[in-house]
Amino acid sequence: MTLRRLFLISLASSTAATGVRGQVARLDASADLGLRRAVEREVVAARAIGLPEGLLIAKANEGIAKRATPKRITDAVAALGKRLQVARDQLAPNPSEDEIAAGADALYVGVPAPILKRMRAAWPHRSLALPLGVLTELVAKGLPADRAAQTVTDLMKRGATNVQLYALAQSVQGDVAAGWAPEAALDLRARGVMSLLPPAPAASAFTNPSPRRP
Amino acid sequence: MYDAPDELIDRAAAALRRRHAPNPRLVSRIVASVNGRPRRWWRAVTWPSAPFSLSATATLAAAGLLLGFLSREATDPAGHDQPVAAQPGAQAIPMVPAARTSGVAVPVPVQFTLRDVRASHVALVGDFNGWSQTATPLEPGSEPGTWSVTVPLSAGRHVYAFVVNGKWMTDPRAQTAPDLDFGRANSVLIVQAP
Repeated sequence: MTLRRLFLISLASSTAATGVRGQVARLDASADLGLRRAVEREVVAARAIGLPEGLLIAKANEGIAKRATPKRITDAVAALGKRLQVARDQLAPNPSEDEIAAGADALYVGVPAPILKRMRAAWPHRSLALPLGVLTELVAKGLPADRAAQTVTDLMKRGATNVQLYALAQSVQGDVAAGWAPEAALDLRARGVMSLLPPAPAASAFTNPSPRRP
Repeated sequence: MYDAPDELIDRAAAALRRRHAPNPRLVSRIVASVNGRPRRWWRAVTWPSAPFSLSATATLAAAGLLLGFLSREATDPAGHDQPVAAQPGAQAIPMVPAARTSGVAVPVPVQFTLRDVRASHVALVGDFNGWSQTATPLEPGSEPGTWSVTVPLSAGRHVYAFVVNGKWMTDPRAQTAPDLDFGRANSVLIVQAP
């Protein structure tokens, strides 16, 4: 190994280490040394597998701002790291940082991981950040995750736009705030959106044509 | 055929034949290149425009990254305050998310507005600014007690809160989401994108 190559490698590794320290330096100044080191460990682990480590720092800062204990903050950061990894894997092959964050939020409110994969399959070439946000909000409002996911995924497959999904979430939010049962609100509003969409293609008519008699 | 004036043609031809005076800096660089390595002062002068070797380029890139990280470290001296419940009398004006214009994930400018006649300092914290209490202060409006700030947000669901006079408060006009990690609810906003 030449001296130049050795120099470049050491420079790159020191730059990476500085990057981790730079991220951790964005931690709130009031974080004590123990918390800082715990968060740094999580950041290093996240960086090693290509996760967006800035979200971990943000989670720690949220806990610090809310005066949570260091133990609670460390646990929350570690749990977020796991959710980010699951979300990234389920939203493969190339999820954006927004999608990974939205997927982690969905997991946080109780959406099962395989649902993320189903949503990716429904929209392979469009951002899932908003549909996942809508799903998260619906589940947070008390809807069963499977039911909400099925509704959102059906709408996506039928060609619903982001605007329509956004309107669905807003309407259900308003209905629930007005005292409606969440499931009744979702059924009503989903039917309303569905009525605006083109009819679903009759797949069986093309895949299994009926034999023609002579 | 052309009937251009002879005088004009003569002047143009004379101008073309005129020999330009050589640039003395260019001559000195050529001579230095022919004779060997340039003088130290000349290398210092021409350093920014000279072609770099691979190792020099990598060194400069790494140094740039290092400076970038160091400068980011110096920009976030966040304070901390005891959060409290929403203050009575505070009222947030509903937010109006703007629409995106393309399918590309372009941030959408979203205006956050709060009305609180007792506020002397208001900051916005949320998942979009790393929950920094110093990154996004609200500016006082023309009417007394009104505060606002416009923030570019990506499409999707965001959680946030206001910090008013050092006290944490949710947006009274927005939906809230429970926070199972830390136990204090956040406000929720969904930014739409067509």
